[in-house]
Amino acid sequence: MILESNKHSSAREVTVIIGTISVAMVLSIVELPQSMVGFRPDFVALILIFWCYHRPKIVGLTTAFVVGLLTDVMFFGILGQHAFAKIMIAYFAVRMSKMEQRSPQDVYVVSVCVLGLLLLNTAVLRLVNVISLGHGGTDSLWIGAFVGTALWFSFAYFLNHRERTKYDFI
Amino acid sequence: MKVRLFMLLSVSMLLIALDTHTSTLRVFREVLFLPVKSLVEIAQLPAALSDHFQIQFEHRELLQERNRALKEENRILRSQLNDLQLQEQRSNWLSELLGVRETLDYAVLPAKPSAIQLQPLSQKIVIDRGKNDDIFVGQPVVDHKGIIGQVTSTTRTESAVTLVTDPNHSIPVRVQRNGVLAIAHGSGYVKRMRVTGLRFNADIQEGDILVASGLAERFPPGYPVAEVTSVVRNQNTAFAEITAAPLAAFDSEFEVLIVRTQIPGEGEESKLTMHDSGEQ
Repeated sequence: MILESNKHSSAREVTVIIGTISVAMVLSIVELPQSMVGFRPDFVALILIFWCYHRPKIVGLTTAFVVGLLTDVMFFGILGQHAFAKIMIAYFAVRMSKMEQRSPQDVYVVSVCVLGLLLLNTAVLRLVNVISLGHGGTDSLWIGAFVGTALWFSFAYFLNHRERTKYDFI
Repeated sequence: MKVRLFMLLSVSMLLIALDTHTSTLRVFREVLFLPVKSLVEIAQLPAALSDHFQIQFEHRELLQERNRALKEENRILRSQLNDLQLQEQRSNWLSELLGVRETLDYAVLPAKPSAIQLQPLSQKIVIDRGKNDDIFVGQPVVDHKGIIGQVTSTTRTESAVTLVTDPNHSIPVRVQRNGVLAIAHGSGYVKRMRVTGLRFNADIQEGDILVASGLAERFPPGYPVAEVTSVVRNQNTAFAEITAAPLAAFDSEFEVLIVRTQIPGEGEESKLTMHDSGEQ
């Protein structure tokens, strides 16, 4: 099983997680107007951070590995590069979630951490590209990290203000 | 958790290395593609849909645009076709005239009609050759089918040709079949000539070709003039009433030939010949 089974995790939660990850994967390859392609964030990384942060008992390193592999296959890229990057950000996201459990974090701080994770994701992807292919892809990948952070922030801010219930919407 | 992290990272690095340097992961990749295949198909839907709608929207405009372009093209092609047909006719005409040049024993000069006057009392055409081209009054003008008429007045650049159908014009002819002599007069009508000088029992019939007899020493002997269209033999009168239709095309816009049957002087003859060869 991809998702680490847990007595707290209900089938509904698992379904929602798989659904959102699928949507993120579709969003990351859906055809965009040429002018918008550079601003596309790594939706898969975002959703992985989100679930690792909020449901660390269900979504963890193994999930990140499998989703990363599937993303690699979907992009017809080097097999393992997304897996590598996603494992790393999943690890740090789970660490963040543990910090959150000890002392609740401010939404701004979390957003900055997310930015760091997305930049790490981009850096790893480019590094793997440079090492194995000799070029690092386009610079617009970095813009995507900032756009992703903005998305994260607005989403978290919106949820925080709407219901103070710590994402218990599932 | 750290153990798992390093394990998975190692596996990823191994995969990266394998995939970069070997092709052993091809099957693995194909198997992994099966679950994401539907996602890829879903991702391609919006582009396909927008393409579809764009085509729908653009269809009408595109068709109108194409229709306009085709109409314009059609118009141009039509005019080109007309030009082409005209050129073909002209080419045929000129090659016929060329044949005449080769069979006639006289020097000829091509000329283009610039005006045509076909009226009952005066049937003339104006051609674009005059005294500058050594044209003089009395020169016969022919096309490849028959005699058109003769030059009756000239200016420097133009000449008036009185047609054989002019009511004041007569031309000595003979029947090509048997050499019976007669005179063909113009009638003022484009398609009709009167033939006189033949007794009611003369050997002439419909369809006979009348050619220039050469008796006037003006027209090239043996050159076709007209075709007999009716013969009325009335025993009360001594002569047969014969009408004929001229063979030449008077109303053509294409070139005619000015023939030099008389030779005013050897010098001028050679001059004309020079002109002649210059026209080729």
